[in-house]
Amino acid sequence: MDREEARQVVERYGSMVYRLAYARTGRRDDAEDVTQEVFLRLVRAAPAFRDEEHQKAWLLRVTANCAGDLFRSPWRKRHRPLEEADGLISPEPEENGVLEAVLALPERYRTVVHLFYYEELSVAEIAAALGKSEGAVRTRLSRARGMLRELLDEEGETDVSR
Amino acid sequence: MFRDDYRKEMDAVKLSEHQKEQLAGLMAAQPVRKARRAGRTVLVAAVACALLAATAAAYVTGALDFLKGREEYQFLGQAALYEEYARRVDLSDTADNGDTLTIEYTAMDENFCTVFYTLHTAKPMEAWSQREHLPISPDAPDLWQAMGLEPTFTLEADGETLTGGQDGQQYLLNANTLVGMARLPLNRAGALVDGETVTLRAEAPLTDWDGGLERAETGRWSFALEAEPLEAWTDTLSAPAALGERQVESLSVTISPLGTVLRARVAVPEEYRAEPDLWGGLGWFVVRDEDGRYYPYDVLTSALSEDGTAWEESYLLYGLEDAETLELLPAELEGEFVTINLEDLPWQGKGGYTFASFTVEEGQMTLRMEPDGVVGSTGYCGSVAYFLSRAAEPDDSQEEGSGKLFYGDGAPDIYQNSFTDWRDGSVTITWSLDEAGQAQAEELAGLELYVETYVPEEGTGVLLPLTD
Repeated sequence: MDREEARQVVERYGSMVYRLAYARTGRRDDAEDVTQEVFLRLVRAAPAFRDEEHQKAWLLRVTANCAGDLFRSPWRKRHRPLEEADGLISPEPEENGVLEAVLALPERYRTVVHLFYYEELSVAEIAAALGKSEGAVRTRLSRARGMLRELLDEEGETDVSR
Repeated sequence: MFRDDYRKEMDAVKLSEHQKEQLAGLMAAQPVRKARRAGRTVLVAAVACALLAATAAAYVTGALDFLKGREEYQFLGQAALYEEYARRVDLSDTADNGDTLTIEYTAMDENFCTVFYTLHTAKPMEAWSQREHLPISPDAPDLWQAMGLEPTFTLEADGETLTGGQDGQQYLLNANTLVGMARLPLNRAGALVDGETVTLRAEAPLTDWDGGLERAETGRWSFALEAEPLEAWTDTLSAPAALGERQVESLSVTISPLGTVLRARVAVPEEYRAEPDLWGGLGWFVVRDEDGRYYPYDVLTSALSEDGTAWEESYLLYGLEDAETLELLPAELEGEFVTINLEDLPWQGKGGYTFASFTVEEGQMTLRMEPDGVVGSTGYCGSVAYFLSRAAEPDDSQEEGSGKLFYGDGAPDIYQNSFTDWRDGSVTITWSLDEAGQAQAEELAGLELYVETYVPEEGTGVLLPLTD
């Protein structure tokens, strides 16, 4: 893959991968590791994508896997951080904000919450991306909403149903 | 609104231009794959085949006998059940690509159809450790190696699809032979009629999820089976009822030899019709009998009705024997982290599952949890958050990384498998250990657990009388 092609892919999907990794791991350094690993796998595997949706689904799935959603977390191997990575502009989560509440959830709930609320995937699409049953995804979403409601009610009124 | 707030805050989480440039540079410096990494694959294949050769010797008379010799299969608590009820059929079909699927045994009742099969393929199958994407160690357990290789089964009769989903176990005996079982839940109780001819269809998985493999290239098989369902009985709620804030349109329990299934149809309120996922079906609930005994369960199926007005769900109930009445109660689920020492086992928190035992053996750690008290879905029976190398003090809060085993840089991989015994809902979790993992396991002194507890909402349940 030449540099210009790589730059285009990163421009289009880099932050999507980084956000999911951050939502899952709750740590910027881990999210960097995962992001790097995902895009290097993309180069090494060179999948033949049917279309953009296929490419996006592939990246989300590999990100979820790399972030340890399917296995080995929290005993996963650590990946090498982005070399010379500095000057991250991602801010700390807003105090008492909804992102902080999501990151306070047990790890297994964060991925589905992010894919549902940020990437706006349906339950069926999340299930397909994560290789889980729709029932399992629905259960996690339901449980996560309950916990978020409790977390956010302590700070103020927020409608978690939407 | 939560979605808007979350999007706004998450929008600020992004890669900097500098990071994007670095990442693109790293990618451009990577060699592009021209072909499969033959050298590496051959090496791994040699290891995998050497490992599997030993197990192949145990494969004497068929899939059922092979599975009976596996420890993981014993954990399911169904070995004796299928010994009694499985019927030998020995049906084979060869797909256009030359792959042959043999259905050796079947077992049917009013809730399930279970098939025991052997698949012989013309081209070698890839163990997970050989696959390009997210390869695992060649030393990973056999169940992990064969993950994703199982055919997808469906049962049909008169144009109706009778089953939805499947679970099971499968093993690679060698690169061209897969042996396993698949359990297919029936969409409705009594869907199989005694003596009726039904069609069992099977499709090989699309293991090449790069998208390079077309469906037409994979195996497809079809078998004509004579239905011989074992007898069961069903008790049904006489009228719709309220479960907390949910309207249960119908509720039934079908008790049959291969497993007891609770089926429910739950209305979706008008205001949730646009996004029914936000409402769900039965939600959080517990099931108990007239003596106050709670029954663990697992969700089998959950689907929106065709008209979008209700969720249709089925649950597998464990351990139901002599109850006269079942009561469903809505519940809240509470969770907390608890640190315990291994010497404190068995340990039970506020209720629910007891952490009964934890053992470290050669190559494996095993945790057993037993239902005792207020239990619900086995998916929320509790779990191990961290393995700890030192004994915990009272109210100890483990600091980040301190004393945690199998954690951080250079941590050995361990592979987790979980099994629920159908007889009583007890849960067994195993973790595989390689040499490095074994050394860490020897240091194990405590566990940080995530314990989840159901809190029933009394007085808002549904009663379902059972008959003999």
